[in-house]
Amino acid sequence: MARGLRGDLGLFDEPLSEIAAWRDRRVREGRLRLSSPDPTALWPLEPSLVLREDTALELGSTGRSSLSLLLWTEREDLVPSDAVGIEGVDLSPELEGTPSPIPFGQLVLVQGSFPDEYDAYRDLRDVVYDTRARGISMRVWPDRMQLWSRVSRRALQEGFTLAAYGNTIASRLLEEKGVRSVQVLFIVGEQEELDLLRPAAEKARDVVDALIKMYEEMNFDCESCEYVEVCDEVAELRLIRDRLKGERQSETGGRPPGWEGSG
Amino acid sequence: MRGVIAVCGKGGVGKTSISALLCRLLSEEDGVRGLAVDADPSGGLSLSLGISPRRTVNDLRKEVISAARERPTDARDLAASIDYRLLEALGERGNLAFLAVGRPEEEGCYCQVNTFLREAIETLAGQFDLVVIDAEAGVEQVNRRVIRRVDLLLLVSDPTAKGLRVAEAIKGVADEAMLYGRAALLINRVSDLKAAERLAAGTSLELIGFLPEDPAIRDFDARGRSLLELPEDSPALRALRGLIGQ
Repeated sequence: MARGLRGDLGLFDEPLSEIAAWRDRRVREGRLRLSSPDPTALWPLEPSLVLREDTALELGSTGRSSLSLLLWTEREDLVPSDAVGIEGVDLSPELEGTPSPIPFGQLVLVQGSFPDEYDAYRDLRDVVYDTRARGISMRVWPDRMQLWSRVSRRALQEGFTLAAYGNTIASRLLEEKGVRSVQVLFIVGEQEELDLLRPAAEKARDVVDALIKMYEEMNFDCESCEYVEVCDEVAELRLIRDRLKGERQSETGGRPPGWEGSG
Repeated sequence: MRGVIAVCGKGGVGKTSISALLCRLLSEEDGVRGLAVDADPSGGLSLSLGISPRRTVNDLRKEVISAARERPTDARDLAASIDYRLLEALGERGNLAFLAVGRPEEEGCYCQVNTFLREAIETLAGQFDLVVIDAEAGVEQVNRRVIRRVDLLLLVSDPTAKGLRVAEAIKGVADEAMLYGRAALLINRVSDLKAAERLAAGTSLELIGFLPEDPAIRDFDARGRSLLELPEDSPALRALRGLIGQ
């Protein structure tokens, strides 16, 4: 991947740096417990729909009580090792009956080498979305960064934990081409922490929005684009835009993109 | 009881009550989960079950289109947000979930959103043991907006020539427009099997059975009570239980 124009700034390096700083601080304070993913302690995959009557715990859901984020970078210092981390308590049958929904965050941080940023977005995202754990309904609302999960009584009784779920996501992501390290961090029952991380998450979401707009709409008229400020901030986005613009111009025989409709 | 049943027929023949009775029988079974889909814009199944949908599929459709106008999104993210909202839209009572389709779309085509919605409903339906769809007179809406394949097309008629003709016509449309495993005629509000057989003999449809007139259903409807609470000795419920037993 080409480096950015200003200070080698990758797509998510700014929000990821903020999240990494938060992570390191919480680890030092003993609030966030990190452990190496255990590839032998995975949770089985099976699409599941948990109805209310079978629900032991409800995590996340609408509004500000959930946060779902997937970020990737080439910088090894931001995601230095594989880890699964939990701030708050991990799930157990004793938690059944806790007032729901419980504020919940899931941060997936990936380090590796990704020649095409949009392919990386799609591939990594698909892994996260498709990690459907048995006995768990997990739904993501990407443009709101919301996550809503119902954990069934049976899954809890059979030993479902976020640690096992994190192991499963991490091990699947580590199988992806170019991925070198993965951290899956969960925040359970800590609304203030979700609020604290939201500004960084929103920066990341703006970058994803700009990326999707570039690839899906193929509109390079920056003056009319609402994401021009995001592109101005993130050098990597400008490089991607220039590359796509060049590719598009060669496809249209040198005419500027968007020209073909006029004549 | 397993699979997807679409209950179709002329207006007023008792489709909604029969859909609700199927759900009632399902609710008696332990470890079995059902999804009731109200594909009739008038929303009668919600009243008959006593379950209110949190939002209709058409509400979701409008929200999705509006959100996609506000922020860029790609197909996978759109599908994920539809999955999320669909789960949120379900009404629930015990082992029964309820989804209302709502009024047909009003503006534009938005084929991609409609396709995603239908695929999301199909995926959702796959998570249930039994899906009962209370369909309006036509099956095209079911095919376009809910699900492409049903296991049983239950053609309901009352003992009138018009009801029977509409049931036949619906099967004709289904032959052209829908994938289904079996189509069968259920005659509602007749006194005995012989009467039902006589009526069915004048059609090209396979008779699956009959249901007797049931004053308890009329009474529950009049008082707005859920048919899930219909007493065990309700004649229509007993007859339907017998049919399923066969």
